[in-house]
Amino acid sequence: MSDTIHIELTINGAAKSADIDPRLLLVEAIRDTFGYKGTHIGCLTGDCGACTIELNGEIEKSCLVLAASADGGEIRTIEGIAPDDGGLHPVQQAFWDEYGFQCGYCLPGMLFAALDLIESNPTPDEAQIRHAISGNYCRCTGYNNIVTSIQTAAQRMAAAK
Amino acid sequence: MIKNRFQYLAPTSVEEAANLLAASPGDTEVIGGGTWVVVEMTAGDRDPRRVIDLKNAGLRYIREEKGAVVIGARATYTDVVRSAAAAKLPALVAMAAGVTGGGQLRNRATLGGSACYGNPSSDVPGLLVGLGATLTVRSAGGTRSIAAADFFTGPLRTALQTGELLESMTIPVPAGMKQGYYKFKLAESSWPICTGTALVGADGSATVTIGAANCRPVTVTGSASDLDGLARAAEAAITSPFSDTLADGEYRKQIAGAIAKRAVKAAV
Ligand SMILES: Cc1cc2nc3c(=O)[nH]c(=O)nc-3n(C[C@@H](O)[C@@H](O)[C@H](O)COP(=O)(O)OP(=O)(O)OC[C@H]3O[C@@H](n4cnc5c(N)ncnc54)[C@H](O)[C@@H]3O)c2cc1C
Ligand code: FES
Ligand code: FES
Repeated sequence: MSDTIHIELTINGAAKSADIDPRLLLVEAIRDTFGYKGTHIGCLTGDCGACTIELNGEIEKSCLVLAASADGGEIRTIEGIAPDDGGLHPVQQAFWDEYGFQCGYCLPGMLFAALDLIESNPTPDEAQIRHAISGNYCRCTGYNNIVTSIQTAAQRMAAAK
Repeated sequence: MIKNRFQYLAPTSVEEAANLLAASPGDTEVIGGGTWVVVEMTAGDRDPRRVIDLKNAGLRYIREEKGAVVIGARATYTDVVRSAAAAKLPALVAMAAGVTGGGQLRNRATLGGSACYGNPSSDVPGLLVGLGATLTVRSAGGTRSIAAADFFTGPLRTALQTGELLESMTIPVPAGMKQGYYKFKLAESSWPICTGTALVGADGSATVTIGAANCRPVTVTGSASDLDGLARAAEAAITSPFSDTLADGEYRKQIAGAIAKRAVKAAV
């Protein structure tokens, strides 16, 4: 039985490669092989969203993907959301201003779901926001501040256009 | 990390995939999107020696062919929502858009994977039966076609035989009929508890398939002008109600009639 598989990925713009065990999940490769610990593990069942990343431009739950399946892929993790100048992305700033998080464990899912929504729908209403984040669990906030954060982010991003 | 070692294979055609599967079908798992099978492997509920990932097998497509929409087994729910060809089937698009788990799930999970999984409390089985789909399955020996109504044989059971994989699903565009899809669930992030797929003709004739309530989808016919009659027929058709943690089978049977009515009303 072949022991390892060679994979090559781009993570937040940086080229990465490794010889991995085919049993490795993508979330484990991102965290442990490549060291991007901002991607979290909550459930390993696809329910919580804490492992969310962007893979080839689409948001995905990285616990549902074998690392081998992502070979050749372009990945953005939560570390890759903020601009290089050290500031925050408008969506992150809105979560900060509106108390959209407490422990922050759920943020990979919440931020990527928010970015994904605002990209396709710059003026989402509350129902659309709640639907967009429905693949993520937050155990701290009770969700209301997250909804407000996304509304604020969308308004600010639309105004800045 | 998944507990036991396995060999990872990513064939570049469906023929190659079928040949690899034929070599050792008993200890091989097929990965479509992986949203179910990877979870089961992580939990140790499945323990394959070989894994065939269909990602490169050329099965991710949706196209129009001779009055039908052909969906490759690897097409995702998001692919359906974005597809110009699938727009001919509003019930299909409504189904795909309403699958839970967020955009993250719909971007990876495939209709083919859901069909092969055959979990009664899913969206895909009832929808495929309701729209009269035909499934094309492939083995090393070639392909064969199975009507969706014959494909779903029971909870987590399908007509797929050892050594066969699903290649595509063909859904005829129902000419001159309105289509509706209605899903009932009790929480935003829940899988379906009962679904209805309706086809309504210009003369008011109605065919409704109830999914998620019975061990296999059931279809009843009647008239859109006699919704109560349709509802009674739908409830009576639930002869082996399906129970899981989301809802008891008896409850599902009791609401099947109401869901049949709503599916007809959803037909546009
Ligand atoms: C958070 C979450 C929410 C969900 N919500 C819903 C919901 O609202 N409604 C719903 O219906 N479902 C829901 N699901 C179930 C979801 O996993 C399926 O709907 C999904 O479509 C399965 O597709 P997949 O490609 O990921 O399957 P996989 O995990 O790849 O495969 C599933 C099964 O099919 C087999 N298989 C896959 N493709 C083939 C093929 N081409 N030939 C032969 N065998 C094959 C696999 O071996 C496995 O046994 C949810 C799942 C999660 C994790
Ligand atoms: S860890 Fe992936 S969804 Fe929870
Ligand atoms: S802020 Fe703690 S889980 Fe959401």
